[in-house]
Amino acid sequence: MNGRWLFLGMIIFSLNGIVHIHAQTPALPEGTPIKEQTQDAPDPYTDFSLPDSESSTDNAKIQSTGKNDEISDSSSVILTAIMRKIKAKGQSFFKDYPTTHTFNTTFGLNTSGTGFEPYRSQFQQCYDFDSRQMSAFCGVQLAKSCFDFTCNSEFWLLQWSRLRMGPGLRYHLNVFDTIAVSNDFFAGLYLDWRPALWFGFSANTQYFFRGRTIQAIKNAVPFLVNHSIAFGMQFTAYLPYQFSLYLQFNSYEQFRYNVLCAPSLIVGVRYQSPFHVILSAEFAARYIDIFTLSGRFDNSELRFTMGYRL
Amino acid sequence: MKNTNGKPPVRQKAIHGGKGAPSNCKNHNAEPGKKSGIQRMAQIYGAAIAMGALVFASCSYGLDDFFSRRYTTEERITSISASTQLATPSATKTASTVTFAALSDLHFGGTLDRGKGRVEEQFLAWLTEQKEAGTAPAFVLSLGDSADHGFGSEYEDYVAFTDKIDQILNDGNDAYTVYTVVGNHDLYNSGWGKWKEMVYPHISFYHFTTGTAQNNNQLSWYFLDSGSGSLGTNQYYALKDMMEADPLPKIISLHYPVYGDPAHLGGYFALQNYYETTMLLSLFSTERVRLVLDGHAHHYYHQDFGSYDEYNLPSVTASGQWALFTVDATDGSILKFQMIYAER
Repeated sequence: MNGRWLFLGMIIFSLNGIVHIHAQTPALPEGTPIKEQTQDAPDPYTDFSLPDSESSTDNAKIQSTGKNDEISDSSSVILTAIMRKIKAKGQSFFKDYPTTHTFNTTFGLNTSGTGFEPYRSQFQQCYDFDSRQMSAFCGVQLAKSCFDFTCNSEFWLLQWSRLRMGPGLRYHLNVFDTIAVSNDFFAGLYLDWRPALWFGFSANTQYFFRGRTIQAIKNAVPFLVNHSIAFGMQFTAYLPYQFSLYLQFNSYEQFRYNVLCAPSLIVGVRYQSPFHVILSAEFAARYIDIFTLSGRFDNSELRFTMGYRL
Repeated sequence: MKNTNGKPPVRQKAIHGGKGAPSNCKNHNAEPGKKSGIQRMAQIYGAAIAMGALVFASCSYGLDDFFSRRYTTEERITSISASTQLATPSATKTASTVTFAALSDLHFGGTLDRGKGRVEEQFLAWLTEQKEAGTAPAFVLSLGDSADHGFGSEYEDYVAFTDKIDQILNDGNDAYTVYTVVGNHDLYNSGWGKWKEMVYPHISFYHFTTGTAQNNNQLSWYFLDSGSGSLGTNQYYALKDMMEADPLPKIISLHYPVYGDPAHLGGYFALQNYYETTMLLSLFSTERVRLVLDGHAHHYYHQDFGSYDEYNLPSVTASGQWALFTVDATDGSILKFQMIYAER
């Protein structure tokens, strides 16, 4: 019964919010070309203005229902902006897709004090490249008793207006003190879907081959292999004022690879300043054997990243 | 019942003799055949689909515990000390070899037999026959997943089964002869409480030695708790300390394969953490481990790591198979290994 009332209340509140937004939204002065307000929008995922004519049309539809009042409070501005964002379509992969180079430095800290990783903190240095045809990543992680190197690339062979797909390759090297060296190879399919300006979804599934040399057994087994799969998915909400919020469910992290299925649940927030500086913080909760319901929490990590995007 | 009769209840098949066995036994090695790439990929993706289906269909296994199951490994293993050492099985004190049976994944309360019928009666008949012939194993290792859902009624069935084994093997001296490790299914629906209450030895990490120092025939047997898909660092480091202080050859029993078949279902049915498996495989090599026994995958696999072997045994209920090992009591090398097949 309480649930029903709560549901009804949420509907009334939502309707009231929409009416309020429409009532408070200022309209454009008569004769103002819509393009004038939207043509300077080079990076739609970090810039809050609208990027293309389709979105501008939506913008006009919203605004034309309002009155010619001055903006009375900032909350209305934010809500209006959110509504615009929701209504606007995502970045077209065909039109003015920006090519970016990003250099990131990350510091990570194990916050649970548990897990088999021999380190409790680590330092990462990474480079990200993104363009219409291809994305790539390369980076190293330095930590106590461990060195990791990862590189990967995705080739966007199939492209639609809001969706791109293609094969990807990944390589990971782990040097675990004098105990073991692992070479991990991945090949799979990547997907990137941006249906709305405020929302994006990406996913991948990959074949995972591991070749591990363990010092203690290398005379008998020089190359201990695993055949597995890896997967990842990310939901991203692009928020006002250059913020974005993302949620990941991955069977791996950039510098951490286990056989199926010890997944990481990651939630993070990212901010891109107008000066091309990116700041982000993310929290990763790592589990062991989640699907057969052992449901063992392994450890958690907090990471802070500072980057520079060109 | 005789194995040589027209329709024996069980049949024995020599797989291989292991280390120290005559070389002709090695020729019967039953390594799995190489799989094609397509088969391997089909298996891996099949596993992913099956696991997804399992998540949404496994309410009876306690879906509400998806992210966090009650009784973590650290809560189950409250102390690792001398109290986790059990008495030496009397049948091994003077023997120069130790023969033992190993079975895995009984899943009482489940439907793993797929209507073909469970094989506990065949196992007991075989055991009785071995006892009468004077070739009975000294004890039985049960490698986890004794119950399917962790329900009390399932543990009652399991304990009734182990009681019958005790009656056959213990010569009327009330000694326990079945050593059980905890599996992931045993923990469903907070099953640890029942396991701890009903299943001998009522702790999930323990060890004992066979033989005596005077007879120079001692082996150390370790039973690990991997029921949550990981030993956990507390158990691992305690095990490491104990092993480093123990110069005897060792035999390890646990539920999850430490390595397992690398191509079977994406390696999912094995310990998954890279650092954990790497450290365990190294530890076993340096601390005189001779044999590692595990289950969970419902799939036979053998891996030779040089100084030790890992045997991943199939589910006795699903496959109708269990294993019989004979090891040298002085150095732990495997003298004989047989898979016993129950007809049903």
